[in-house]
Amino acid sequence: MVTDSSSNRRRYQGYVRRKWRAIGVVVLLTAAWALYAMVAGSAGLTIPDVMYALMGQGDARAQTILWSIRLPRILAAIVAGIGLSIAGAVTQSALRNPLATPFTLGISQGAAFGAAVAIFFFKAGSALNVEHIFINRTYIVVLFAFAGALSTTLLVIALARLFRATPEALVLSGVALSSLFQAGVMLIQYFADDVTVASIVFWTFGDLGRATWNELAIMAVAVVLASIFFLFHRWHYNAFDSGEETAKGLGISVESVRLGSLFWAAFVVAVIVSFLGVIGFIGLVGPHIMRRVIGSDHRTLLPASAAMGGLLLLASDTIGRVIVAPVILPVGIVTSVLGAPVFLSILARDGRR
Amino acid sequence: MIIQVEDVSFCYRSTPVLENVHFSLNRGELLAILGNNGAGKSTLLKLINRILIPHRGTVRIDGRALQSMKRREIAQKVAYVAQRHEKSSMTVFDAVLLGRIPHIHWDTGRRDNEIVERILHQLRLAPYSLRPLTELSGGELQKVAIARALAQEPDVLLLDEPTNNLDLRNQLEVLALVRDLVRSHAMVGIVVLHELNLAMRYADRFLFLKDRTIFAAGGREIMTPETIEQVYGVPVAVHRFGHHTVIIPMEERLQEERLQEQEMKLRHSL
Repeated sequence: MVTDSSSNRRRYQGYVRRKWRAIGVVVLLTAAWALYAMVAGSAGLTIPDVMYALMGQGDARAQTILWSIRLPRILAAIVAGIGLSIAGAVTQSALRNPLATPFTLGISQGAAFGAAVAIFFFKAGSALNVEHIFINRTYIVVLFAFAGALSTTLLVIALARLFRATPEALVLSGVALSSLFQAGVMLIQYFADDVTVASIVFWTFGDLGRATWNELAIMAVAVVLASIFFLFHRWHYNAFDSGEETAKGLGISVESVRLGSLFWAAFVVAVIVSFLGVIGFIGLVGPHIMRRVIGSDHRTLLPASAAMGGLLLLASDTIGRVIVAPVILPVGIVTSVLGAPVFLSILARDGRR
Repeated sequence: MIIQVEDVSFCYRSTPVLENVHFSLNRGELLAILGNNGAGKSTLLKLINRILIPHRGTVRIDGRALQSMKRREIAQKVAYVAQRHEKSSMTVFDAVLLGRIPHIHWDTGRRDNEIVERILHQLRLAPYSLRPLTELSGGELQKVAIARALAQEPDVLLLDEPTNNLDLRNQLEVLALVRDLVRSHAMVGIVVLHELNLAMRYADRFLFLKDRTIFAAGGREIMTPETIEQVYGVPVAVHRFGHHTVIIPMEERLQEERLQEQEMKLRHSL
């Protein structure tokens, strides 16, 4: 009997170790892909060029390209991917809904409305010609987008509190407010001139090229803070999976953990969306791929989703840069184009089981 | 006196569900809550760990009112096994480890793992410890939920129809285990049961709910044919059979009575 339990324990430890090994593989793949992303592109850099430039040596042109263009972009992809994916995993657990992401709470529509208001009233968009739209006064747009995104979420949470904060109430409030803000954007577009309409549309394409070191730092702080909150509650998300009453019986204040988690998930995604625009599907595909690989235990699922999100967004952005080079596709389009078939194949595999 | 339920009333919205429920239990006692569907049995259970909050009255554990305790403190003393269980792809070991949540701060340690291993062994679940919950039968899932509750190392164990979905052997095994644990660890057990014979076999205190309040409560002496018939509306016979007392529904007597009534009515109308 003693040997039986100690062999059981060894098997369990092996099982846990295998999960962490899978996460390690994803992290290594991300590092390798990051190296590729530094080399890939129209500048024709080689791996030695990149290595020297990383150490602050070698060709000045290579150093400029790497440090002011490629590195912020690559790191922004990884940081934003981590944030979107971990927030997605947490939202799916908090709302007990495999299709939920923070966007379910109306964030993208709220942010788009905020950006549209800024662009329309502050004339933040301008154009050289129809093909070259610029967003001036970026910080006003970012601030308005962030305010729009976060106030939508807070409204959803406040509304849902009135109806006792059930997952259904939260999802339905999110749907209602999303359509309200969407209507707001359309109303603004209806009265706006061509350049403003184009600027608003252009803003909503998620694009990693907008990231600078400053913005990267702000996103990183948001992602780290939210991740600490999420990891602190990883046990509670596991308990949510056993049902609400069981979770309460285990001493968890289900409503406050749920609303706190949704707030942080929305906060981190609002920061990312206001800087980069709307990037869909990462919060859905990242956690779902890792659920297939390592199961639904949030102790490992949260770091795993984070790692997979970073890899997915980095890979999507690199593909968007090279596929029709020298034109760079906004990453939001790439993630949606790649995300849909990946997502459907996950569903198909589930269906066959 | 570890559990005191003092004049507790509860309403769902404005519909009263329980009124003036009053009882207390000592360590080592196993109470069976009995009564018809919708009599408020599950509600009463949820009031004892503050999943629901009474409108009037107080529930005390070791003299402390539940209202003054944090949810986590309650979970260190009271474990609850819900009626329904949700399946996830979590392994059995991890599912039972959740029972340690009220006791851990950042992560589980060696002692938590040992407690879970011991309980899995006790409930003969050890061979399944790495199985995902989705691959378990209803009975095995029920035992996992009980194992999780025991991992909380509670003073009070609340079980809502724990023998649902269990085959005969598992029914007896689970209730015998609960009774033995309640006695050996000087816990209090409160079990909502439908099966009167199982209640008779394992419980030592009984509480009948009817019309939103306690109809009868006490030891074995209250398990009379009259009480049971008044609560369930079915005539029964109570017989001794070796060491066991068995309750046999005599619903045919009910039919006979109804037939006689109908005959009487017919005669009157003729």
